[in-house]
Amino acid sequence: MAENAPETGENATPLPIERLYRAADLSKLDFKTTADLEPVEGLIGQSRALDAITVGTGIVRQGFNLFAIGPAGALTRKAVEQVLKEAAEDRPAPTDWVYVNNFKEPQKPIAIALPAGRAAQFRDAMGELIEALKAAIPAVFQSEEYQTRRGSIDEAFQKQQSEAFAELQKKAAAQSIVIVRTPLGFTLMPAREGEVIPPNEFNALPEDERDKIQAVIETLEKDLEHIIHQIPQWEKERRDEIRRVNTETAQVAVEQPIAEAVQKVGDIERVAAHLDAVQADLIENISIFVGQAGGGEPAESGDMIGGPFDRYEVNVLVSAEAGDGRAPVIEELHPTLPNLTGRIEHIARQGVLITNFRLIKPGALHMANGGYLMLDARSLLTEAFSYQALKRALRQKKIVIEDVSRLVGMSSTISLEPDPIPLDVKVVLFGDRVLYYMLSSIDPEIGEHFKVVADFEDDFERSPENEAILARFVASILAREELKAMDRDAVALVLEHASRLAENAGKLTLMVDEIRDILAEADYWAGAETRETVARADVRKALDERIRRAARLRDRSQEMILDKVALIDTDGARVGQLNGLSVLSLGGFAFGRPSRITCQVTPGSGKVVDIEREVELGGPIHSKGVLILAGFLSGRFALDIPMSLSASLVFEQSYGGVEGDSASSAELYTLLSAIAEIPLRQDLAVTGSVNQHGDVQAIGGANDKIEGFFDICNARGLTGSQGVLIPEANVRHLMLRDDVVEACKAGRFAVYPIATIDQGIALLTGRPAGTRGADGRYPDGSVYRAVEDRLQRFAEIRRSFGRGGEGGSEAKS
Amino acid sequence: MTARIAYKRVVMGLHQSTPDRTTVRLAAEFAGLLRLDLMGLFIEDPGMLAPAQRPGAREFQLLGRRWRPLEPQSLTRDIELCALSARRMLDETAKTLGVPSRFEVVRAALREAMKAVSQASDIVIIAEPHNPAERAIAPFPQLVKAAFESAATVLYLPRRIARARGPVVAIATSPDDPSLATAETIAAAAQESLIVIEAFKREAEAAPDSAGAAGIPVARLSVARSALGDIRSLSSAIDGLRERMIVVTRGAFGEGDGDKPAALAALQSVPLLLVEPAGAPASEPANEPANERLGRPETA
Repeated sequence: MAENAPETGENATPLPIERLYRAADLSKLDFKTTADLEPVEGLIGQSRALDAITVGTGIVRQGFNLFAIGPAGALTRKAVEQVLKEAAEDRPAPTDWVYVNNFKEPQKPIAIALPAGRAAQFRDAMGELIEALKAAIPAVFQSEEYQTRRGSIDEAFQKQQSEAFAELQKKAAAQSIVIVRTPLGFTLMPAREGEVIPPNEFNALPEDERDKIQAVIETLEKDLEHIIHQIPQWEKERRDEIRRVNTETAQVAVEQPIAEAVQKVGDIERVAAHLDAVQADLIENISIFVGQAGGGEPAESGDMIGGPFDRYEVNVLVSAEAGDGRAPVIEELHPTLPNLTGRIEHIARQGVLITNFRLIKPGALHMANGGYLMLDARSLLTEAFSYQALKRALRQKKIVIEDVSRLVGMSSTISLEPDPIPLDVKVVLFGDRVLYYMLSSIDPEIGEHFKVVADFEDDFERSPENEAILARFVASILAREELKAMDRDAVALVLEHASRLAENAGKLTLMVDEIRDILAEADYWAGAETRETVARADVRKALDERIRRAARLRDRSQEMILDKVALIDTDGARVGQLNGLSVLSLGGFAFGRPSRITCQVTPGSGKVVDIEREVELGGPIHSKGVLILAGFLSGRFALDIPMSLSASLVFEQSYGGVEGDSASSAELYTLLSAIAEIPLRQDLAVTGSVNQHGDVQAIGGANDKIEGFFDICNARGLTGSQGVLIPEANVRHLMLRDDVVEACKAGRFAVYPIATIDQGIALLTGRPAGTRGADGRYPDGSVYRAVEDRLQRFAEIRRSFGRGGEGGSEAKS
Repeated sequence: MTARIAYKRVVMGLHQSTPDRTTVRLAAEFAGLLRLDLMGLFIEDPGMLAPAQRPGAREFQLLGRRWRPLEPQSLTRDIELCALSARRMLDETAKTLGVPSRFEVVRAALREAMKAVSQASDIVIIAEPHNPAERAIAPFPQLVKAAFESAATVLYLPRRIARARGPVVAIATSPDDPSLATAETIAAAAQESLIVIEAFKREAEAAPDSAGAAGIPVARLSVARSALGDIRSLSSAIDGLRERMIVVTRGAFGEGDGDKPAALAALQSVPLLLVEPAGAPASEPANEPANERLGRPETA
């Protein structure tokens, strides 16, 4: 606490070397290269998450799906997939699903479940049935028996008509009349010896004779009309008779092949029912096998959609034939709605989009049904309709194929409404924590559907035992990825880098994908050096090259500082100015950069102006840090007088915005310097947040910040006085670069752990901060005394202004 | 050796009722099979206009089933429309199948027109109407009669055709029956086998060499010559051959044949080709347009 703080900065001594970097301790392992190590399978340090997965997979209740949160990575998913596969071995092989035609309502295809592996048998049996019928039905319909029966029906019909016409013709001939065909019908004409009487001859006949003939013709016309009116009825009777014969004939042709199909797959109740429907439909639509007339050629078919035999085929949606007979574990990387719930495809035929049950395609839910489905939460949420469709499917426990274009009302194409398929699947969503927490806050249903959260750790405790485990894990990755083995020193560096990735010397990262990438690059560099085993130098090279590839912006930033375009002093002292430190993180690469912080003070109303905030370049956390400064000043100095200060703080040459409170201690030092008019050392840089009591608090990115300032100092030449003030709480996080450590070891650079503002200001000014004495005043020569005296002068100036007096000489610092 | 007729054209005889599309297609396929030209012959019999010239004449229209006054102008127009429709149908079908075609309208009495136009190198197609009334009344019976009396070979298409594949059956009354060579040509073109119904007593060692010369399978059956006189007996004799076509020489069924060819075609439900016997009267020059020979202007 500030009250117990040392009076001077003497306690702020540079950190010893061993606190700047913690070397790996591989004493628990006896090996020369990773080839000697026993591999570790699965995930390490994730017992909490793995237990959650075990619980999630073990509870067979609705809603017990899993949401795996934590660092995303392919290896993590692969490990989870492995766990799921092991769990899948205890689940029965899922049923096969097929879609078949609904003969009564073709737009509503029927879903049929079959025992695992039997869908293909059903499909093949139907294929064989149709092939058999293509031969059998035409053969029966071309048989002499059928032709005879058919011919006799036609003949009877023809005879009936012929006789009627013959009778009429005979009757007409007896009265010297003939029936003549005209293009559109029939007419009756007077005749002589069977030949039409020419019109001129007819017209020359006496009128009464013509009238008699006309009367006869009119009588015969009625007979003709009567016969022709009877023809449709005769034709209907003929068609009915032919249909009856066709049905009987078809029955004969179809029975045997259907019986053979029943023999193969008829033990499945719904399949047997379908075969009954097929038989009925075959008989009803026999013309597609034999042509319209029952004696013509069968219709063309082929594999083309829309062929006449499509209706009898089987669309195998999912089948154990494609799997290994175990419950499936499916990962859908692109969970669009069609990829998730399946889709109904269409094809263009003569300008019209058509579809049928054969064009129903499965989605990931179909493929994973009876097993496990792994989905990336972010991908799921960024696909329109997919998340809602997944929740609907989980709630209804069935898969309904939904058409996107219909959902948005953009399609008027006639589509299908296939039978929904019962759903029994465990869904595992992968996502980062922020996403999960955000989703939880806006979607109350997330807890209903994903009752088990598997929270994957980012890192784990760094102990010799865990270092040994991680070393073996490294060996596993090398073996699995078929990379070169690593020697002991190389493994040590990998572990140390794992600590740096964790931003904590006391932790080891569990971002295994990051480690795998480094191992792959180290393998490459070892190969470039024609080494059989990866050495520490190869790992070092890999790490350096990774930084070099990504560090263009860092280099440009440093270049600007060295060229004095961005003004950063690394020596001397100045009032109201200090080097703060910030971290820029771009594209996965972070680097520290010094920023000049300046402060101006004038008499005023006690307000500390954050210029960044005023121009909306400062984030809320940064603004909060600045406001805390006012609190610190009030608590420390304005005990019996009103704070009569107006101060402005700014990050110089900052154009991209500032966020975070890690510069608040630096801002406070700058403010104190400006008030007290005591210069601050420019060869030091500061990071750390501060509270109203003056305690310096931990920040993030300590390593990057130290290295950022070191790089500038190093480029200009290390003087031995340069260094960085960091919060004492951040010491445990230090895993600094070799060159920084070496410089510190040589006394050319220093890292100072700072617990309080008193310590920091003493180090920065070379003066004690000061502690109030018995008289209630800070000692002479202390920084705080200077601050308090100046504040009192400001107060007097304000009072004199209030009385209309003078005092403007103290207006500027 | 049997006489082999060098056919040049398939002539489709048409009159004032619109032809059936299936029939036109069959004709075009047949012409294509034998690599012959297809000719549509629309016979516009002036006698058919006579009904419209009788006062008070009317026709019963099949479409709509109602009576309508019969007038010369409307009847003429209807006949022209029939010809136009037949021409379009024939042209389109021939084009689709890649068969060379032409279309002629001949204004003459049926018998005269058929006699004048058809030649020994022609195959005239007569399609039996589906409507029994049409079969019974003018002008179809006249058309059949005219075709059978012409110098041309006649392909008679029954109302119903049972099959499009199967062997070609030739009914021969002698070893050098012209039907043999024609049937062999058709079987070879259609890549079918040939079945010869021999209604004659053949010397055992003198197997005819025409059949089989084209490299097609040939089978032979013997029937008594008298069996040809009874169409039902003949049909029973060839029952089960599942033929696609019957080829027979005119006169094989007895004096004048009568309606036996048509009856056999109907019983078997297959086309029947009636070939001119050897030594039939020579036909008129082939390339002379029919209307020129008839001395009448061509109308289409």
